[in-house]
Amino acid sequence: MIEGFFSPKTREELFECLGKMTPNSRFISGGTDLILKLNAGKIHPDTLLYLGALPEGREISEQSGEIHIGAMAEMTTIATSPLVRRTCMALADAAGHVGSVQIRNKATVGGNVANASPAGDLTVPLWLMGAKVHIAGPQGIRTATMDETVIGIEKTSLCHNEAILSFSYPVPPASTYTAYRKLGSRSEVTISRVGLAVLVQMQEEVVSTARIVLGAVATTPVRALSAERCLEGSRLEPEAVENAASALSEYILEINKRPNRFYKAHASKGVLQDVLDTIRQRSGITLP
Amino acid sequence: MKLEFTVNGKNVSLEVPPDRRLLDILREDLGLTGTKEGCGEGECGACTVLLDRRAVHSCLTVAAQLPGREVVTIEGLSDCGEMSDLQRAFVEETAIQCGYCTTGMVMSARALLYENPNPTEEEIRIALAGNICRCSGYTQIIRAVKRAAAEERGEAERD
Amino acid sequence: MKIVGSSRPIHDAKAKVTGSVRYAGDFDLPGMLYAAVIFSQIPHGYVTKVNVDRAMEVGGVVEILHCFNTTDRPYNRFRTMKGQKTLEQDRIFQRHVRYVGDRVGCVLAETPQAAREAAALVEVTYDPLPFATTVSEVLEGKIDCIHSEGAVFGEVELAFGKEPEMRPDTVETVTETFLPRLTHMTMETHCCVASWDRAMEQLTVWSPNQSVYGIRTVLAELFDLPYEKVRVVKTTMGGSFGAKQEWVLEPVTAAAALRTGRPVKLVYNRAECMVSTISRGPIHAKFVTKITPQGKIQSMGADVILDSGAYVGNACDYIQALASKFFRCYSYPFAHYTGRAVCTNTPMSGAYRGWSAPEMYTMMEHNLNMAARRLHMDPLELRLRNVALPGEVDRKTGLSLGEIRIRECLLLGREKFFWEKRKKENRAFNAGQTRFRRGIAVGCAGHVNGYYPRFPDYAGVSMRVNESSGIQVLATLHDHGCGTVTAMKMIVSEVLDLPLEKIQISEGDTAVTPHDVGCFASRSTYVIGRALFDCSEKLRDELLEACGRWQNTDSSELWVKDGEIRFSDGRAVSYGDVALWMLREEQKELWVNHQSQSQSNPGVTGAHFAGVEVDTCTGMVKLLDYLAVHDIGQAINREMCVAQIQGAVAMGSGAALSEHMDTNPKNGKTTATMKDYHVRNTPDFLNVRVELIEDGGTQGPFGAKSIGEACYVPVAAAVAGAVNDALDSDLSSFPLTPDAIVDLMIKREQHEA
Repeated sequence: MIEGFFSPKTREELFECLGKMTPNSRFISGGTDLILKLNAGKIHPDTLLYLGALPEGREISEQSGEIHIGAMAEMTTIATSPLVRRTCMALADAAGHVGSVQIRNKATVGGNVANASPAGDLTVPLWLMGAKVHIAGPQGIRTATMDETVIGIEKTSLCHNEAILSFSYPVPPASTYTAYRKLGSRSEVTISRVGLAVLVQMQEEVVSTARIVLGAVATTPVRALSAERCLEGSRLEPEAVENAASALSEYILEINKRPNRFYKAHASKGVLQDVLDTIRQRSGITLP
Repeated sequence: MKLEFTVNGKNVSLEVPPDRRLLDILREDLGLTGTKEGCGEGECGACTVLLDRRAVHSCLTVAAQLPGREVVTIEGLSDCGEMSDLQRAFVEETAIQCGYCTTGMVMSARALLYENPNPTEEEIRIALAGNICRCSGYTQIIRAVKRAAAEERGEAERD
Repeated sequence: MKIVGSSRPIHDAKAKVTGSVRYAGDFDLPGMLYAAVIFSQIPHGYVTKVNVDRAMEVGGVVEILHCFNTTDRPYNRFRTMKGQKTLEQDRIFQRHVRYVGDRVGCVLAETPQAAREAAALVEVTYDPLPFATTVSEVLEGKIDCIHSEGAVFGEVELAFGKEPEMRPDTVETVTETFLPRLTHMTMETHCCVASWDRAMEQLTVWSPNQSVYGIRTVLAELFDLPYEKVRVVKTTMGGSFGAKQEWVLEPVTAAAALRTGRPVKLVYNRAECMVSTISRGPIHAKFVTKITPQGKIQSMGADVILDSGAYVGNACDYIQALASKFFRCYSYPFAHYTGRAVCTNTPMSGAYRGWSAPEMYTMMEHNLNMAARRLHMDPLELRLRNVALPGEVDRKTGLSLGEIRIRECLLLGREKFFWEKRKKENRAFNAGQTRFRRGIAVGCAGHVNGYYPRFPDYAGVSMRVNESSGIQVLATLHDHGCGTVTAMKMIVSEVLDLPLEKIQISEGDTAVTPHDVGCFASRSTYVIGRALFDCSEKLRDELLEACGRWQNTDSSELWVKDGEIRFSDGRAVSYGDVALWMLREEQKELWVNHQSQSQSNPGVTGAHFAGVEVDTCTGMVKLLDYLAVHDIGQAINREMCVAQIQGAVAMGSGAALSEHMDTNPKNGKTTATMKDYHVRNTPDFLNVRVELIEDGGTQGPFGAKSIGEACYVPVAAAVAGAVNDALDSDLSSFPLTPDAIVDLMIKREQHEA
């Protein structure tokens, strides 16, 4: 039986409400994960704290060379945001393919990260960008990195009375291109089985920096360093891509011991090819 | 909690638990049974309604999220019992068989056309990706949406 | 023809699109109670105690029925007729539970939430037994106590025709096919409303179902009520595909109504629907063909095991029905069949669209594709050399296949699908890169139109003309949402030359409409439609004769046109005028009855052409093109036929590529969410092309044959065939998931290394 219900409309109200949360209380923003658990009788919270009434919760802004995204911003908002699309297409890609339109209109980036599903979509590009997480507690706001926040399967470092307020990442330098692609069981409306976020920085059509973050193959997103090295110094030509794909595949087999690792290792080669095709298109690189 | 919001343009005030599903509020508390439950897990889309003009699953929306917001259901699309052009397009394009997906499908299409009055077939497919029809192969439904879009743009002839 | 063959919206389209139509789940009767069922949490065991104390404390709970306070009389939920021989293993609630999802009891409360909350608080104590979740475990003897009669049912060996002498160069092809458990995934979950009028001693049941008379028979006998005191009404149905042709919720809801004297509504949620109604159980089959090097089939053989689940519902009949599909498409001398059903501690197997035909043709078509490879023959050519021709005989029944047109379907499809051109294009595409592979296949299948001659197949209709020229028809229809009512109206409209709106036909109601076994076996258009056609002609003749009597004219000088009776001198009177005259002057209503029996069952076939692209990295399969060619006799409601065919292709593609329910061998729990059971959604489907061959010549209305099931039968075969063509593989364990495809790729890479 839910006895308490809070819907703070200002930061002050939020801090006050946070002080009243017990280990059996729950936050709700979009609700697309929480309500499923509620309906299935998996959880019986004493209190619901609705975060969606905070006006700043949905804001996306640029401040001092950093993009700030309110934790309550819905997937649709993020996928179509000009600021996000200008600075991190991977984030727009990820948000644009979470569930269906109905899910995207409600599910929030904060909820996605706080849920910490290994198959989460937005954790991966946020990891890629080295995003900071701004967390509100009864005492105030603290900042942490993504890997300090998302620490295991449905495990975060958030206390029961802490809620994510926003994320921020530095605006990348010019000639930086990102993309995210996920492989599910079908093309749309599917949970990620392999999620890949890639960032490349180009200098005269040569990759000077490559960052690859893999989702849905480990308990949290992970950097695929050996695959990154295959791309650095290349022009994303087929041989370099093939080497990176093999490295990625081997890496998955190293870190994942579950029965479907062979599938994921094999399939990831295709996902990487597809992501890099997108990066090529976005960067305007043409292959010889 | 005391919930105050609007449904089909009318103000509604109810005393409900904060975790009561919008789907149940509509069907049981307000007698609006046009919105259907097909799965309760946000997969089939039969429960789709508009929340502030955007398509959402009413089975994954609860009272806590509704204060001050505007919900439109299938009942809100007809004007004094007259079908909207979108609904008429569904009827005339044989886009209705068992009918159970229909109201959710129409609401998703309605939301799409509010935002994108000239959608391509691909855009229609993405907009309806969360609405399952088990009777058809979606062809007539997509045709109905295209036709309604053209009529709303004033490009098609109406009977 | 004026209206038959045109396209009309479904009869209740406006009610559906405005949200005003009431499905059973929308019913709200005064004093109505809500039911929530208590399901077994263990796969096998005995219920020793049911403690309702905590549950009864939930506000609004009125009564709790369970296996110790409700009749344990057995019945069979698939039975429709009095005296029909079926194994009676079902009970309203079981004390010996045999799968996770078996019914133990149900809570009745003033709100649905209270009922469910209380159901979760009922404490059931079990004495568990060993359990088995696969047929092989049962056959190996892991358990021996699932039923007192044993676990193997319906064992049969059949042979049809005469086995020819096999020459040494005969090519024998042996294939194995595994079909997983499927669910119908109707968008409307199962639901039922029942009401017991104590004063009138009348039980009324409303549900979406495929046989009101079947339910009446089973409920009347279950509760010792005279048949005439049990009224069963079919409600608007949100899809069935066979899911609602077995009586799952009706006995529970009726028992609750009888106990409380208040109306009761029971609605299953999606999980309950998937697990605790019916599914199409797993099937393991071996298939053998013997074919001459010139491509003439000499014999076919199948050995089939059906996992019936916890109880034998229709399993024995299903095993028999498989054997009736051998000769519905191809012509060859001999077939041999062995089959059996085995009970396991898993959800029940029951009816599914096509009722054994899709399963038979999935195995047969796969085998023929593999045989074609061994014969170095084009798979389409192999089909052409063996299709049944008009007038040939179904060796199982000895009946003529009549105006079968499978050959024409194949020839038309070969042309419209650009078969030869595509083969070349695919070869070039595949050779040009390594990641993607394209392939095509044809899937052929034959089905039936009704039961004849397996079982008696008859229909009764009554029609009356009212004073405003409307026709009121009583026929027991069960529209699945596929347009049966509209199609029947179109038939009547064509004969009587009346607009569709003037014809009123409601659906099955045992208090009002004539006896009918129900809407299955693809009999509605062919058998009931035929009866409607004949009755309409009878009514037209009566109209003309009555008019003749009224106007002192020979009825042979009158005719019907545009809703009027015309005279040769230019006068016209309305049907209503005649009806009124009869009432006043002859003191009789203008009313005819008609009953007819089916005497034929022509071949009704389809050839489906699928083109796919397989991503060999990810295992994902994309449908590139799909053409369905159907030998339909005559389409009644054209666009509805097209829509049904396309829907069947979506369903069959799911069966081929993604749909499967799994039971966890550790705890007996079965897949129960849509998240884990992917049906086709818009991005993964395409606009299926449809061609209809309408040569008529059958005893169906206007020469029509069946379509609703026939169009589902060949699909999985065509899609899987195309994947196998693309990969040069022989995958036959369904569904062909990305994991299965990648598994094959990995094995090949290892083999090459």
